[in-house]
Amino acid sequence: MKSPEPKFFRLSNGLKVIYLQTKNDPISAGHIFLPNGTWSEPPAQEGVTVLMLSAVFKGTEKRSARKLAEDTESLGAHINASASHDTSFISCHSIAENFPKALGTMAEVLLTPSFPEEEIEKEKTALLASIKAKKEQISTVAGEEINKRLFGKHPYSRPTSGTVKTVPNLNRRILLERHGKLVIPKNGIFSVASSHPLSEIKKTLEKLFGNSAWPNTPSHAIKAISETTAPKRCRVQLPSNFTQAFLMTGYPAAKARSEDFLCLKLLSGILGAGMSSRLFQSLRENLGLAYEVGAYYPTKKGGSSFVFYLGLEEKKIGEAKAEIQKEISKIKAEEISERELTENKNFVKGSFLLDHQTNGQRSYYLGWWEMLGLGAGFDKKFVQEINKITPAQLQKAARKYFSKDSVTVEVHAKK
Amino acid sequence: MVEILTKAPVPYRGSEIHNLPNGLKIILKEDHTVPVVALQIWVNCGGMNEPGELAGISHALEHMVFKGTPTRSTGEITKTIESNGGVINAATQIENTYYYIDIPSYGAKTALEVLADTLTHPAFPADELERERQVILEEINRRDDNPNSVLWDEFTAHVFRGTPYGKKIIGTKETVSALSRKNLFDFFHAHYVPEKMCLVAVGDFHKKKLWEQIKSLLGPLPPRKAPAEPAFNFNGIKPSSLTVKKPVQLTHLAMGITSVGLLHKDVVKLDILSDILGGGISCRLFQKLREELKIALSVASDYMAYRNKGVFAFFAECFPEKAKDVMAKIIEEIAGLKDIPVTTAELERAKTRIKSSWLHESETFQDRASTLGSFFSSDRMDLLSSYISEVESTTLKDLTRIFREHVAGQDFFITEVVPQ
Repeated sequence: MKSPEPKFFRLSNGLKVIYLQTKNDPISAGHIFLPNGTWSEPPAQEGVTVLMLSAVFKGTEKRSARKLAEDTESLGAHINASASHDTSFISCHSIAENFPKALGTMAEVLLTPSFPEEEIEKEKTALLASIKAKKEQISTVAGEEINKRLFGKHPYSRPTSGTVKTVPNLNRRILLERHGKLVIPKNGIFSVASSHPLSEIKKTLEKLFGNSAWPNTPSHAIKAISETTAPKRCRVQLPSNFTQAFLMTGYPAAKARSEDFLCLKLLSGILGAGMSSRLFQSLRENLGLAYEVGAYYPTKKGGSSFVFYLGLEEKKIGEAKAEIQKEISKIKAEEISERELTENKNFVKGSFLLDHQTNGQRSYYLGWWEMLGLGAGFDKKFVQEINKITPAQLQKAARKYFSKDSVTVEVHAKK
Repeated sequence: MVEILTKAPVPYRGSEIHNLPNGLKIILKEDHTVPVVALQIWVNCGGMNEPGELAGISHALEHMVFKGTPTRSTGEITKTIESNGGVINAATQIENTYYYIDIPSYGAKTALEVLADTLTHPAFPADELERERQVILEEINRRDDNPNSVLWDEFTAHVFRGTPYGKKIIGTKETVSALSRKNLFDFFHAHYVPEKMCLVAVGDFHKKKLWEQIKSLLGPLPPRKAPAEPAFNFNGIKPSSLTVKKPVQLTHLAMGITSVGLLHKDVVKLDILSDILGGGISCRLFQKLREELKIALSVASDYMAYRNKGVFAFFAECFPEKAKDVMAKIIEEIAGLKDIPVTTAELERAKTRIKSSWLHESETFQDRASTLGSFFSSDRMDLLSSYISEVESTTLKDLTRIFREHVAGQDFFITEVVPQ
């Protein structure tokens, strides 16, 4: 079975479209990635991007929030919007026959939101509640602290949701301003996966998202995100009311457009993804220290982090830290065997297939790689390039990144 | 004798149901659109089958089957699957446990060998049990820190107290600490019998070849009589309120009335009524409590149906000072169905939402295998074929009757997780 190739075209306003025509899929999906995320928020307005993107659904020039909700659900569609540090995006998933209509609603909320004052206040309340509720999740508490320490003054240190200090000050004027700067077609990417013919999609998108509906505003050119700088070694201990304790150890790591990116992705798999990963085997299977254990390396534009984590009994933190360091020393000192490397490459290959079964997943990845500057074609290249990695390259990357100063966060259990 | 699901909705149409002579059911759905295979084994044994002193054994057993067999060492099971590009895991529920492997199609043959061996010849090594016990105790701690898990556990234990459904699936620190290797073997031999098991395969395989492999791997299993299902007696459980204090910021609320179980003829209509009240964001409760009155941060409903009983349930999150108002308004909105009956627009929207959810939730082969397995487990394979047509044929009059017969005038079980 040969997988279809994506087609590329631009709308009259320059918006880049990547279209993957699939066969007979009952669900169609599209994602618009805007080349600006929460990193560009002024510090006093942290949270404005996420708030603005939730408020677009709360009324447009034509329809009230309630009518939008009713009409969207009557189409069997889901339209959502969110933001990360690097990008903002709006997605549309719908049953295939109603996809053109669902795209119409997507265009309406994104391009013509009315931002009613009352609705903004409601969304602010909900956002503040979700910020408070983050304190209920131990991994989130640890994760936000390690980001703060790893990224220092860089915008990646801030939570995308804003804080209890900044969100109450946001208002309609600030949201409108953010919308004007953020929701522009320049450098935006629209990825779509659907069974509709290409000609039909082209026509629909031009009508809904082309120059007449969404003119370009070049005055709001966006500069690229700055690169992160290395943190100083530190260990943070946080008291808490949780039953568990939580341990995170993180290192600064490479951005997506780096020659080390794929080596670090593979290292994160070898060390901390899946049940046969080194950390899972040593910390959970051999020592029984934790239920939740792993490592992650997020894909980011300006620089990233490589983090080891586990939830455990507080008295076992010392043992766990020593074991993590043992695994780090091992991967630096010894080249991984060809066999282990092949097994891990196969795991990556399989995960890729399992993660590309739906039009929502296909659409997301095509747009995501393009937005990162790696190109939609990287979606296929990812596995091919991973296959070329050698044990020596992995060891070199491990030595380079795991020799830097690390940050350790310990969330202690309730006394 | 093979049964073919000719009337099931498209993703499931053509699924074949086979029976091995030992009683094990096999459901096969060949589909070559993606080079992936989903394999699942469903066992009709979960929390409800445990005696009180062994609470958590189904879940512990689910962990321990991955610890090796006479021919596969500890670690080899997951290694074999992951090095073939697959994922392997399992989940324990109140009425069943299911084990799954999702894998690129080139690894399907190996995956089936591993899954069959794992579930027919577990070794339960003694030293592994001691290590895994620590892992599960940590899982209990983790669950205890998650307000939504606490709410779920406490709510179901509260609603079904004194019955086999009223147990915490993960068990308690005391019962898990006391589990022995003998307990695991005894429980396994009693409940993991062919007649309580179903293998589901969906995806890119050749049916005949897979069927031959299944017969050779699972056919030789001797038939064994399953123990009698535990007795259920729901009489005498009176609706009441339970408050659990935790270090949380918001109040997490669950409310429900007990209702009929999955074997009842009205289950589809109860799903529709539940959706009208609390499905999506255009439903009555979301619009009233979050959008109009601004007292809830989130609100949703779910008709949780088990084989012997169901709960018509509502879940909400709110600031603690609004909790009383939220509870009162949920009760008022439900009672209000009598005076403000469901409109045609609401019904049509609910039908679309449910039908589209079916499509959204059937996108991957794993999704489809789970749906097939869960319908087997609930003993309602018939519903798989009739569900959508029953949704389509439901009328406003039907819903008036459903409300009157199953919902109106009942008192609520309430569970709140509140700040300390």
